[in-house]
Amino acid sequence: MTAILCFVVIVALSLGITTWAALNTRGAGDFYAAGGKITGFQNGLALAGDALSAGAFLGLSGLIFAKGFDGYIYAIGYSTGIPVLIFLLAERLRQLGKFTFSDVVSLRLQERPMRIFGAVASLTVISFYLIAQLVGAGALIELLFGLSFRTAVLIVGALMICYVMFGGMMATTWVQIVKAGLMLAGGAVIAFLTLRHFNFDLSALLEGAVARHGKGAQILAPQAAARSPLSALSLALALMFGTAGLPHILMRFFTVPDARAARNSVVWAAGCANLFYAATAIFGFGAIAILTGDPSAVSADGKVVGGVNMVAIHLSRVLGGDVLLGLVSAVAFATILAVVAGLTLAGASSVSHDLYARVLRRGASDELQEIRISRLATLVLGLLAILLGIAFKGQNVAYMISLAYAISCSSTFPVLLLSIYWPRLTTRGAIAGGGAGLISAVVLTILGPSVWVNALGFPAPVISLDPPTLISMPLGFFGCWLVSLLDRSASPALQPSAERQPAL
Amino acid sequence: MPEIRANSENWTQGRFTLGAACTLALASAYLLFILCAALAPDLLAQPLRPGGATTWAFAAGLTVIGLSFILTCLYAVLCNRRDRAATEA
Repeated sequence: MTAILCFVVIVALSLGITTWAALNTRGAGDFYAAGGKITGFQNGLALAGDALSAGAFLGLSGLIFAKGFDGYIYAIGYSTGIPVLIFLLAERLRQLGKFTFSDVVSLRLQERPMRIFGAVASLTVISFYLIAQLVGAGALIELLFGLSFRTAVLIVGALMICYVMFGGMMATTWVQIVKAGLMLAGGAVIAFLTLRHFNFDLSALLEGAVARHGKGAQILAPQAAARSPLSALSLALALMFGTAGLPHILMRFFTVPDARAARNSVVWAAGCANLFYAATAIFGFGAIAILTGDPSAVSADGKVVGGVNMVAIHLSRVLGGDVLLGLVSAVAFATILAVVAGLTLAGASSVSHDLYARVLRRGASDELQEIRISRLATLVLGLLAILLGIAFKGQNVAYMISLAYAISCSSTFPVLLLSIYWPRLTTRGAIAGGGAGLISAVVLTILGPSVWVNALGFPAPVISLDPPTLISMPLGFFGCWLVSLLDRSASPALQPSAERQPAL
Repeated sequence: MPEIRANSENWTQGRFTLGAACTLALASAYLLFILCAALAPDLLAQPLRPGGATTWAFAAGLTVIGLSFILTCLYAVLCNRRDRAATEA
């Protein structure tokens, strides 16, 4: 009961912030980019919040609990994502003054086909990412409230739809800031309590884990990479370059007033996020040592109560009782909600800004109508996510996110990178390469172990490379390069915009 | 037209070097770690201190995580410095 109380308080707080933000939303500028009024530190926290979604806390803890160091490799990989994003892309996007992936590539390539491609690719990536978040949230609500997974996912979906429909980017940015702070605080508390359990001796913690885990000392070092080096390399590429192609992260760089603030925000974000990623080792290995053999957390046959994503939640309960359980659950839930809102917003703006305003209406739409379409798109996307979230019950969240990354680094990332740095990219080249990357990534993912075996139930995967990045990303780049060279049409130069604010 | 093209090329090339260098540095460290895991896993399984449980895998992994943060700071500082020099020039 205490847990539920704490939970409700924090969620109510999030709703309060949304209402405040909704009352402060004036036009599309506010709805999409929070009016550019956020400071570097605040945006940094919001950006970190995106990184510390269900995947980091729930998913990574679960992965490490199950696989030991092979799970920690995901954390290490994820930590390289945001830095690569700022090294390669963030500055240019700000200088170009453009909003979304499609806005940037449409600057020098033909607008209509690029916007359509951008929308399709973004929505695909967003869908995978959304499913992961909703599965995590569903499992959380299911465990905490004892509701069925379906009901849980429905509730999360409904809340998420409300957030975005009525608050827009401002709501998600502010909610992100608050919950990033809470997540970091919560993580610190759990890390502290876990370490204290072992007298702050990391070695003792690891020894405890080795003693309890089925695989013994093998969990202390990577094992899977030696067995399938190509998959290990493929995963490494996806985790490193996938962030740079995620549509909702790109939008975060437009909520600060200038380039200096944008850079500072990334330093803050990288610092907080990386600290958290490093700490997942404590959560994961600590959980192995503390939870294994505890029937309230792990059943006799080794399955985690409530699913693979609930390891961190059980850890909080065992270490800090019902109060910590409630607080941590609420923070995890608020985290997921905010990320889901950010994703949905990116998807909705893809539909309203890219497809409706620019493609359908050829730039002649009115702002209010655009917001209305955006809200409608939110509703549809939300419903789709709910359905798919129910279908993917039981999958590990961090793993599903890596699939989203594999798709984004094969489709949006090559096109974005080349359209900024390679003067000879043509529209046809971009569509061919991006399309090839997108289709190959999705098809190979479906034929791979995650969907073919785990979700669809076949005995063996058609393609064992998991994720398929090693094939799909080079394919994306190669396609862009080859078709651009073969294509004789003109490729105009890229011009940095003089303005600092995103043009509307 | 030619001047505009020259401008945009300068603009992309001048700043490209720092971002590319940082990416290369991070990617090298990270991929080296993964290659080590794939080709010489026993190396990573060695404990840091004899008898201890913390392995070199942890040290290497934390180095990558730390490096990504350090490179981010470096990049931001250098870019800010360059911006300031450009406005003062």
